[in-house]
Amino acid sequence: MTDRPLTELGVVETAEAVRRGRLRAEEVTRAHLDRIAAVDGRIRAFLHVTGEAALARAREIDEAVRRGADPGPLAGVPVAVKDNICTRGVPTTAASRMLQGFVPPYDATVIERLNAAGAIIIGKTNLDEFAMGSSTEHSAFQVTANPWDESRVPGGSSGGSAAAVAAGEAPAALGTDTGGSIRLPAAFCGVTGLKPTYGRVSRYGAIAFASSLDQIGPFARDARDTARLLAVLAGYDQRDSTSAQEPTADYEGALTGDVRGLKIGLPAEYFGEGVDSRVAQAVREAVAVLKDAGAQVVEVSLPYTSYTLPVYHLVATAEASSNLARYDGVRYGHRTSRRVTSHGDLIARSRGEGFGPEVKLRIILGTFALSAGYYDQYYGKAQQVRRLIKDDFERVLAQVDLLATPTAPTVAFPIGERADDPMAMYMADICTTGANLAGLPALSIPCGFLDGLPVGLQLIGRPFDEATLLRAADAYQRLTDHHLRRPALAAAGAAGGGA
Amino acid sequence: MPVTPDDVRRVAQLASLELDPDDETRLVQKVQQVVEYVDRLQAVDTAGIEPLAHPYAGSSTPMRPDTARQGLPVDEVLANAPDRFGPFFRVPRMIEEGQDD
Repeated sequence: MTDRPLTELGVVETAEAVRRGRLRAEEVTRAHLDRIAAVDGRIRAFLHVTGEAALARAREIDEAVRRGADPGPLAGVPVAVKDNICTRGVPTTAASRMLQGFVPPYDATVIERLNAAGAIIIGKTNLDEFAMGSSTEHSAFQVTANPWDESRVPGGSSGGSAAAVAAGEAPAALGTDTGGSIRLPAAFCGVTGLKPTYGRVSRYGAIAFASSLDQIGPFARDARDTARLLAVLAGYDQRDSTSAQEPTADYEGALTGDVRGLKIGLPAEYFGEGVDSRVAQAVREAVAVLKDAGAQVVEVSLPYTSYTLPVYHLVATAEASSNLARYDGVRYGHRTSRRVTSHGDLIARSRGEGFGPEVKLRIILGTFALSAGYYDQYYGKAQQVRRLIKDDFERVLAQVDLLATPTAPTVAFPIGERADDPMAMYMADICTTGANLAGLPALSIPCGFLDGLPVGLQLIGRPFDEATLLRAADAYQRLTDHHLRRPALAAAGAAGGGA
Repeated sequence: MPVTPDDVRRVAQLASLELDPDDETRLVQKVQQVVEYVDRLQAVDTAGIEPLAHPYAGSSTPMRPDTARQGLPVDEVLANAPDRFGPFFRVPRMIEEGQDD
């Protein structure tokens, strides 16, 4: 149907061609498996590739099309899944030694939804251990490279998913976002990544990090593909008590290309201290494109912005220390092989051996923030300031339809540069944690390049109004071509066979 | 607030987390760094501000009918256990001398 390599087709293009019988899901899947074999030795995005199982599944899709059935809106679309989302019968490790060898006996709701829509789970992607990090360097197994510059990080924690989409190993991927873990790697890898509203997408089967912040969301190469994925993922699930019963929208139908009258707020605090002035400039230029297309742009202020990161680190670590208490070496996960003399020893040793350094740091911080004598001063205080931050966003989003900011304060940084300096690493999240604390939908799209590395534009919207974010992102992508650029790796991999 | 090795040991015990001496030294310094950073919150006036535990924006917390559902088969669940005995999780024998309460 096309002379473009199958690994360059997007989600909507692939699904529509497969549905119409113009393309076989099997050849699409095989092309992506070949691509993974050719480039993943360098990118290291995947922890597990489903291989034969993916091909078998693809043949089922093709058979359905032959019978005249419609396999669904994601027919034959390979999807890479962050390895902290449970996949029945497929190893799920959260990139932790604690869960090495864990094979879930059930699928996360998002996996059921992808399967029901005709998608093909092609593999599981690398992340910072338990999603704690901003570079994917905290994985217990491997460091993922940024496809635009293999000496740099892909961002994190969903770095494997973002890198896989950027490198043409999959047209779509799932990530999770607790403080920016979808948007930051989307920005660093030059792809589109969406963190939906808290409660929009079921988290049943996602390995919990911080339950008042975590949200699952999609990666793709443009807003239209992202809209197609969100339509499949979004919706109420009675197995997740935080899943919202709010109606979903026609996300693809919302992509009219028309932004006339759309009110965009530029929060001054996101363009100042700590943000590379060239990044700030690229984002302002992107907003100017939307302004020229008829949007109104106004300066706004979110006075509590400088407190979002400290609040985030208290809330996220406190919740993590509680969520990770389940790893006790008894029911699943790592158990120490050393001799123990008490049940307490069994638990403490298993945890000491199973968790990596960043996870230990966060458990200690979170337990500290919740401990007697410090609870009010740290966790309680953080919850109060969290309300002030949420009130800030509510006030401003009553005046504008969405906010535009940089996604990250810089472009992708070199591997190793911040790995041992927690505060330097945490700074990568200064623009993203606010949306998690306030529960708002936010996405990142590429809006330019600095020294050959992608810059991310973040759009933050009102609760459950992903449609407006996607409409603005799509309108921008109709007028620009940053999202069409591919890393040079694309050429190198085309000749590849099996690695 | 200064963080001491004793603080880290005490908190690690609360968290049931064994730390080796290298972990401990590294953690004291890193915890100190982060605590210094988050201490900037103390400057915010939060008198009378209600704490916010989660950002759920749905119109109400959904309820589901309380009906019995089929659970996962025992064998599938126990397949991930480090050790098992029939339909049970098994832990190492560790009854200590003199522990008869």
